[in-house]
Parts: sequence; C-alpha cells; structure tokens
Amino acid sequence: MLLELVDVRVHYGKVEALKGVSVSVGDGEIVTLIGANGAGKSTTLKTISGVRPVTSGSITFDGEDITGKAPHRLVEMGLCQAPEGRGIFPGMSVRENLDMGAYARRNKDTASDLERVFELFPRLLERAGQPGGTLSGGEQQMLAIGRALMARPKVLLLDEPSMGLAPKLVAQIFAIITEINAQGTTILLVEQNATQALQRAHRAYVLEVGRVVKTADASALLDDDAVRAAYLGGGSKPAPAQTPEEPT
Amino acid sequence: MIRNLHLPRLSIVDPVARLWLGLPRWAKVLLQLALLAFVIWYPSTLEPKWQSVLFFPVGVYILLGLGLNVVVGLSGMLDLGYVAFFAVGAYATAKLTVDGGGLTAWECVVLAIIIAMAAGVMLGGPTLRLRGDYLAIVTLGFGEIVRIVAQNSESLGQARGIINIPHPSDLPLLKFNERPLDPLPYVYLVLGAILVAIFMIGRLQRSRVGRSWAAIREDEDAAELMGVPTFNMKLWSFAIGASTGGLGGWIYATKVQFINPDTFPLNLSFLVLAAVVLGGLGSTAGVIAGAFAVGFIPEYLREFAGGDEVLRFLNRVTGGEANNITEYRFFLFGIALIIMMIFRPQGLIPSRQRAAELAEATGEGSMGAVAGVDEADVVATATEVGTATLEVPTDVELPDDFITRATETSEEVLRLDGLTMQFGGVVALNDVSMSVHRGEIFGIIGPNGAGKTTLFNCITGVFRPTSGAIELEGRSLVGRKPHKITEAGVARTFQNIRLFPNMTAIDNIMVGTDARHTTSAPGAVMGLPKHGREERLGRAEAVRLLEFVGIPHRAGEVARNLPYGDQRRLEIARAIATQPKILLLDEPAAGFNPAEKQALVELIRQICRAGLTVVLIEHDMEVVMEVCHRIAVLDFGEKIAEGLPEEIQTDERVIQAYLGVDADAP
Repeated sequence: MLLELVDVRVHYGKVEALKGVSVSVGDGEIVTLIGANGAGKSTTLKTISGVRPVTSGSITFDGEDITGKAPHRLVEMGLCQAPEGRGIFPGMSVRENLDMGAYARRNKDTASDLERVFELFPRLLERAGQPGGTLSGGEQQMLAIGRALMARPKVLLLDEPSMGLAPKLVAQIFAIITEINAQGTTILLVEQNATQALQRAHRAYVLEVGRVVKTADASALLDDDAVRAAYLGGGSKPAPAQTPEEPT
Repeated sequence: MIRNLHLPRLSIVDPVARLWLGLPRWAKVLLQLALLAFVIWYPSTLEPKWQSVLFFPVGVYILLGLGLNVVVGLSGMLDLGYVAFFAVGAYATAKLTVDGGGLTAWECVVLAIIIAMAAGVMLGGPTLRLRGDYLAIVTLGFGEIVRIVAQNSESLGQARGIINIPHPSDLPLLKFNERPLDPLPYVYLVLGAILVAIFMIGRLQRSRVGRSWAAIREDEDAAELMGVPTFNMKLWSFAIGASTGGLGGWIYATKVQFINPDTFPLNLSFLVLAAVVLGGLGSTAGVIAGAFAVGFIPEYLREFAGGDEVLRFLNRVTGGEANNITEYRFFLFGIALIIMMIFRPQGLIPSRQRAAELAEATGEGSMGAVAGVDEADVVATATEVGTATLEVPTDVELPDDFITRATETSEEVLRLDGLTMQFGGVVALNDVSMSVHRGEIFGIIGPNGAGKTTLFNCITGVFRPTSGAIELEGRSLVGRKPHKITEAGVARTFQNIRLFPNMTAIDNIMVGTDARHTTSAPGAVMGLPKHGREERLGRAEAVRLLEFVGIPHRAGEVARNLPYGDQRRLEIARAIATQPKILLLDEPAAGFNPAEKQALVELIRQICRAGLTVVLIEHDMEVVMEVCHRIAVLDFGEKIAEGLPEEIQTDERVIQAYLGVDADAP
C-alpha cells in the first residue's frame, strides 16, 4: 500500500474526532471517503497531510512512518493536499500560485508541469496574470488542484473539490480528477457528492462519527441500499451536490 | 510546528475562576462586598511609600487599562497611542485650573473627560475606517503628536510643563489637602474612579452596545450586514476609552500638581497595552490583574535589594556593570512578560470569548469541539464532533406580530432595473432587471462567477452598483449603507457561513434583533428602563427564533461549536431576527447530504408560509426546483432566462450554460 492509516485517533481538545480510523490507498487508485457532515472525512485528510496532530495510531507513506511529520516535509515526500475551501493565495497571480505549488521541489524545472496544468485547465492559462482572489469559485478550485499537481505528488488529497460548483463544472472537475489519475497520480478524495465520487473511484470508505463503518469497491457501494438511502438520496437522479463539511 | 507543540499552562487562576462562576448570586455579591471592604481597608495599613505606588503606577494603570480594554479588548481595535487621551485629560485640567481657566479641580473633572472624549472622536472620525495594522500606526502617530504639541506649545508650557495644578477640595472623608504629601486620599480617589469605570463599562458590555462591539471584533462586515452601524459603534468605543483616559489624566494632574511632556512618554502606551494583554483582553478582572503586575513588579524589584548574588549573575550574563539590581528591573520585567506570554498567551484571567478566539488563531481551535480547554467558563455541552443531527424543523410558527403575513401575490417587493456592476474593466453584472413578488420564493441560479453573489452584494449595499436601480417597496436602496439597508428590511445569509464564531447562538441572534433596537451607549450606561425592555424582548425573540429553525437546545452554545447544519440554521435565524421584508439566502444547501437538504427545503417553505419573501441562490437543482416559485438564471453577469421551474429546466440556453448536457444522467 502506498498510503496506510492504522487505527488513527485524533482529538480536538477532549473530543475524539477520529476513533480509530484505518484506511489504505494503493498505488494508482482513486479512493474516496464518504459520509455525513462531521463524520471525520476532512479531519482524516488533514491528519494525513500533517495539519492535525495524531493522538495514537500510525500513518505510513511509501514504506515510511510519517506520523507527526510537519506538512511541508510531507509535500517534499510527495503527499500533497488541495485543501477544502481552496486556500489559494488571493494576492498572488495564478502563475505565482502555481509556482508556489512547486516550492518544495528540489528540481525547479517546472515548465513541463505548468504545461500539464494548463492543458488540464485551459481556463487557468487565460487567467495566468490575474490575482487568485479575483477568480470565480470554479476557477479557484481548478487553481487549487493545479497548484497541488505542481508538487508532482505521488498521492493527491482532494477535499470536497466539487464544493460550491455549478452542475456543469462539477462534471468537468470529476472528469479531470479521472484524467489526473490516469496520468499516474494516486488520489484520495473526500466528497459530499457521493454519487459522483463513487462513480469515479475504485474503492470507498464510509465514515460515521469518526469511524469507518463500511468499505468496499466503489461500484458495490453505489448499489448498496443502506448507502443509497443515507448518502445518495432516494431518487435515481443524483443531486449535483457539493460543498464543505465541518465548520472551521 | 508551533501549533503541534502543547505548552504547559499556568493554571493557578483557572480553578479560582471556575469556582467563582459556579457560585450562586448572593455569594458573589457577598464576596464582592468583602473584596471591596478589603481594598478600602488594606491601603490604610501600608507605608506611605507603598500607598504612593498604589496610586501611581498601579491605580492609574488600572484605570487606563480599563479604558484601553474597551478599545482593544472589547472592540478589537489596536490602539498604540492611548496615552494621548491621558495627556489630553491632564493638560485640559491644567489649563482650566491654572492660567486662564481659574476653575477648581472638581469643576473641571467633567470637562476633562469631555475634552478627552472629543479628542477621541476627532482621532476616530477620520481614521476608524482603517483596520488592524493601519489603525495601530495612526494611533501611534497620534500619541506622539499630542506629546510633541505639548513640548512645543508656549501655552502648554513647552518642556517646562505646567505647575501648581490645584488639589481637589476636601470631601467629607477624603482630606486631599490636609497633609500635603499623604497619598492615601488619592488612592481612594483613583479607587472610586476605577469602580465607576468598571460599573459603566460592565453595563455597556452587557448591552446591545457591547454585543455590537463583540460582533465587530469577530466579523466586521457581517456585523454591518446584520444592521450594526459599525462606524458609529467603533467611534463610541474610542470615545469611551478616551474618556476613561481623560479621567485618569485629571486624577494624575490634581494629585501630582505638575505635568510636562515627559509625564506622557510613548512607552506608557505600551505598558498599559502590555497590562491589558497580559491580564486578558476583554476581561475586567484580567485587566486589573495585568495592570497590577505591570505597575507593581518593577516597583517591587526596585525594593528587592538583597540580591547581590542575582546582581552578580546578571552582570555576568549580560556583560553589564550595574551596581544596583534596580538597574535591571525593566530587563527582568521584560523577561517576565515574555515568559508569561509563552505559557499563558490568553492572559492571567482571560475572557471566555477572547480565549476561544486565541485558540482559533493559533490552530488549537477545533471544529465542532470544545475550544480552549482551560478557559475560565468552559462551554458545558457541545461535545459531539458536529454530527449531522438535522431534524425536520418543529412546527413552531413565527408569531403574527413578527412579520407581515402574506401569501404569494404579484405585489412587487424588490425590483432591480438595469443593474450593472463593473469592477475596473470587468462587467460582473450587466443590465440585470428582475422583480420579486411578496410571499414568493425566488431562485437565482447560474454558473460560478455568473454574478449571483455580486447581485446580493449590490442589494445589501456591500457594493454600490455602477448603474441601475434597486428598490425595496418602491424606495431606492442604492447608495445606502449596509446597516441602513438591513434596517429597511433586507437580510441575508452567506455562502461560507459568517456567524460570530465565538459568541453564543443566542447572542448571534440578538445582534440581529438589535438592528431594530435603539439603546445607545449613554442609554446603556445609565441603564434606562427602555434598554432593559429591549434586552428582555430581544432575548425572548431570539429564543423563539431558535425554536423556529429547530435548534432550541443550542441557545447557550458557542456558534463555532455547532454542527455544520445547525450553523446554517442559526445564520438563517439571525437574519430573520432583523425582521426583514425579504430574506436573501446564499447557497444554504451547500455541504448538505440528501436528508439534510430535505430538512432545509421544509425550513425554507416554513419561512415562506410565515409570510417572508425569499430569494435563494443555490446550485442544488433538486432543492431549487422543488422549492422555488420562479427562477432567474444568470450567466456572465446577464440574465439569460426567467420563469417557472419547469420552463427553466427545459430552456436550451440554461442547459447549455449551466445544467450541462447530461447533468441529469446518473
């Protein structure tokens, strides 16, 4: 396994947010975490990327124990997150934002990476000189993903990439996620839009109140009655859903 | 990583604070009386030298600290030149009594306060539009200007200063003139001033005014949009802080009888600020403790003569050649400050809210969990980590008097005509016209960046449209300030929830009800009956609104600790609290799963049944199509369609621009 969490517990103050979560992601996979607001999906991602301290349990990446490592070290190792809420630098231009993505890299030859990002997101090329803060929500999401790709990550952590996006854009973003994966990047995806996520992912974990309650192939979960009822909505029409999870 | 580092906390004070909060009211009153008796009795037992220290620096620092705390701690504005108001009060006293004025000391106490207050308004008026660092620099400049003017103005005595300022005439128990050098009466004078300041500031803090200060500190823009006249409230904060400084200046001048520019050095501003931060921003008890520490410790170190060993050690460490340990007192004091701030950054006796804000700022804050674990009054409940517990709303209806009942009609409530908004060369809205009818739910959809939120921002006065008209019931809203527009009857929620995160649910809503109340700062200080009525009424309404949106059990919880869904509900309740004619909801279903969305649909319907007109921005087509009576579609700032939900769903242009060709296919 490329990335493996074993019995990870995380506390906010006295409150246990993750109650022993075990998740593994194999090389080349798209794995998705689904669940209700507050289930611990975003917390799991933040814990992997080192933003939240672990109380107990271990995280290994590429055969190395990364529990407790600082986030910037993890980026150097090839673990990169496009944060929920995008977290782009509003005063920097699109181009500068992308350059920041390559900040931790030793090899500073970024021309080919820029080309790749602009190929995936032609819209960003049009806006290259514009301050990040003036982009629309969808463009900011593209920028956040593009910036993460600039680090040439082995694993890309995506937190609610479809949040606040129009239906048409949601479809586009998911298509691009599939494309990025096809180009060789492993992806761990947190989504409120469970239908889309399960259609794109290989495997999935269902989280409830800080615990993994179910794990299976994504296609199996799509047909799982309990999962359908809880997260996919009753009807056959998928909600072009979106958005954030916990208050920050 | 600093944020991962869990520093040990000095926690001598917290258990005491907890104990205090757990006491019944009568016990608190009794203890307060005992404490008062002690502070009256104790100074009389001290040597005159220590009585002097108790007057200055300790007493004066406490008074100044209380004033500065209003500005920095309660309203969140960093003021680095606070000593200016102390100086203004002192010079006003000197000028009014000594030459020209000829008033007695007692006659000019009120004048000194008013003049300092006027100086506060003069400084605040042009500068309070600035925030953060910029405001700090402006105030820093002001502090220096006052001192330099005094230094150079002939009538203020230049560097010589002004001498022979009269003592206050004797009061029955306080003989200010009996023994010329006896500091004790002045200790009681400053004590009296401190008690008055605590009383008045306490009343303000617990009023509509204090709530608006807290709201401004937490999120100034959201406060303005909830109807808080932010500029006026900040000006009041500045003026009240300045008046306390002016009172301090009067006391100092009449006791010492002599002032010159050196009495008001810049570092006095910093010392008082250090006292406030050290003690605990926003906490009265904390400010007193902090001012005591800052005033007393250097004086104590002056007396701490027995430390030859320490002196030699310090000389060796610093390479200095001091003969007396007092030469190191500010050095030691500085180190003590640094250590304090590392181990207890929230201050000696922190206020609950400010401690929570600090925890958030340092990354120790939590989402849906108890914040600032060692803070004084621990948030009791709210322990589950934001689990999704969205019940379908209770069937509590809004009372009849709350909003005008109406059913869907064709009567126009909100009308936009040719609305255009340009940012530089970018056209965010281009000639948008629409009209919203009373009692309907009107949807606005469109791609990201189409201008939907910009439209809300124009209606609520955040942006002033480049051209076009916005009318609410026939009255133009263009060019009015956001809080005026809220008063006129427009309320909104925000795409990325903007509650006042460290205020309780009920206080959040009361900021909304406050928009309709009129208690002013002087009214709150005087405790006018009207104010008490408004406060009770607001609280009762807030409780009803919490029931209405289905979260009555959250009343006392801090907004930040609520589960995500409840935060959305609270934001809606806060908006309704302003008694709007029209409610603007910006992506309320964002981040909801299907069950939560269904509950939201019910809530929106219920709001509509209660007679409110709703305008809804939403990406979730199921919600939009289910709940909206009519829908307008924006694309690239232009309205490309308007009509009934079924018309919109089949409109070719809408499918092209927004829905996508196969958005409906699973």
